[in-house]
Amino acid sequence: MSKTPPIATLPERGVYRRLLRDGPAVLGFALVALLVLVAAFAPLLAPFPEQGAGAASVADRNLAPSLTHWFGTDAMGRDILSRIVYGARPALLVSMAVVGLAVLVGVPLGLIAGFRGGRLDEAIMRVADMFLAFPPLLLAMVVVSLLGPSLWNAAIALVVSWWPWYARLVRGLALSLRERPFVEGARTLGLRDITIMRRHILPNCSSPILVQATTDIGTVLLAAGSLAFIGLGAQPPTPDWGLMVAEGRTYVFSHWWMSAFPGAAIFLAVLGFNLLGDALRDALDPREVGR
Amino acid sequence: MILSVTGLVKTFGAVRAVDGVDLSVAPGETYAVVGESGSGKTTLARCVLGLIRPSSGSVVVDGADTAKISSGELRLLRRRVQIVFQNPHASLNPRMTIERLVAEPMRIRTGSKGAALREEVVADLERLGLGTAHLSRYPHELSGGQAQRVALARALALRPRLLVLDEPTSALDVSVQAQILNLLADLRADDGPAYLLISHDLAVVRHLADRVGVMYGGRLVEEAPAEQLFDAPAHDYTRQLLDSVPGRGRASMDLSLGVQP
Repeated sequence: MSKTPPIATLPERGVYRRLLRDGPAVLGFALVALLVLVAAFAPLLAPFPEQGAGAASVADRNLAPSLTHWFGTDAMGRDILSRIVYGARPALLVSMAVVGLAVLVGVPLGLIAGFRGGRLDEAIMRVADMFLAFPPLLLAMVVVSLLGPSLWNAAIALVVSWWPWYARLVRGLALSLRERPFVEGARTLGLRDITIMRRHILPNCSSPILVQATTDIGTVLLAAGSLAFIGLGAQPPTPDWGLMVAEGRTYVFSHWWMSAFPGAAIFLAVLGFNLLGDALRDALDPREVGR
Repeated sequence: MILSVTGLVKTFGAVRAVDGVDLSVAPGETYAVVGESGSGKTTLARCVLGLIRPSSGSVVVDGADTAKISSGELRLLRRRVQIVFQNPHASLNPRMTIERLVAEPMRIRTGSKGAALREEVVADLERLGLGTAHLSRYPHELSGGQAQRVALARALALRPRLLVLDEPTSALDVSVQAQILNLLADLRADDGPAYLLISHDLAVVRHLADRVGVMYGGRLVEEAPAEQLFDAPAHDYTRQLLDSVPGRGRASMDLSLGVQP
């Protein structure tokens, strides 16, 4: 209601301002869309699909970027562009799965804690605090070393350290919504707590959850890459960006492209999700929540 | 009696928000509780609604003592008492359409679904001066008066025996206030619920109330039929309250309702 676009006085200026304001949003959306498309059509887009999937080509080892191999080749002779294209798949899959599971675990717990309050709230939130007390990556490293290093164990480890953020976010929202007249009204209708939480509390939390989840996909992507980098995530020959950065690390002074391009891919993906998250925050914030 | 409150006390820590209140409301009657903010009006209302349990004393709604039943039974008892809040927009879930908002309680009462449910919703909305055009709207698309009608439709959909009106008009424009008050008067005439009107707006009280209880510091300091209270207030505090109306107004009180629809 309050956010009417300023068209009236100076049209050019208004457009320019809006473009500036929307620029990052457009960039974020474009980057994420690109990532999704690349992941979906990897076999069609990769110049050397079989190498992207992991096949070695010993004759082409360590080639610098060229017209045939835009991003060069790695120590096994695999085309790095193809590896990056294929790497979009585990990167996207793992980070979305981690955030999805963290939401699935954290949101219901936060809802119950915030809406019910009392001892249940104390119990849930103290457990969440325990997990939050450790730096997320450190906690994930502990979990992976217990489970054994693999892509999916890394994912589980990241869920373990990420769910408390959602529990805390939703608890805060539920706590403030609980006092709102429309929730009191729902209680006077004699609805069960579970119905009130599902029908009246949760829908009013959805925007902040969506914003947080979008931004977190980027953060988790980086964390999964970090785990792979230190050998606790994806294992060779998975085309994982973090792993590729690690593999190229030894040769970084003589063969910079081996680490630089996968690193750039991680950077752009994280940037994309962060910008998209910010854009969603701006787009969803007014009116809906916290009024 | 629809509602009998006996010796009601509700404390929050050291604060005695309600400190020994007795009152009763007969079927079809409008009982107004007046008093300044902090006098315990809202706490009283929340006890009557079964949203909080009294510290001591009893609240008997439609023959059932809220202190003596399980929380499951209390949950179902709440359906016989409904509430309309002061701020209509805050009392409607911003994520639900008007149709869903009214259908939610309606389905609890009638058990209808689909087209039949929609018909019942429309019938009730029309009774309150809204129509099918509003069904797919969201609360923020409505004016204050329209939103308050929806809140009223929602509360009445369960056909409660008692309707608590918590400052039902004080968030509305003056012109709309009169409409809502007349609507409330009409609904009551129409075999509607008894009203427990909570207000500090004495003009509203005078317009609707049969009996008035004056609350001060958690106690009911005076209770009298509306006419008598306005003409001959017995308690000092009541006199102060009446004299505090802008324009020194027992005489001028009806003027603020001068705008009729």
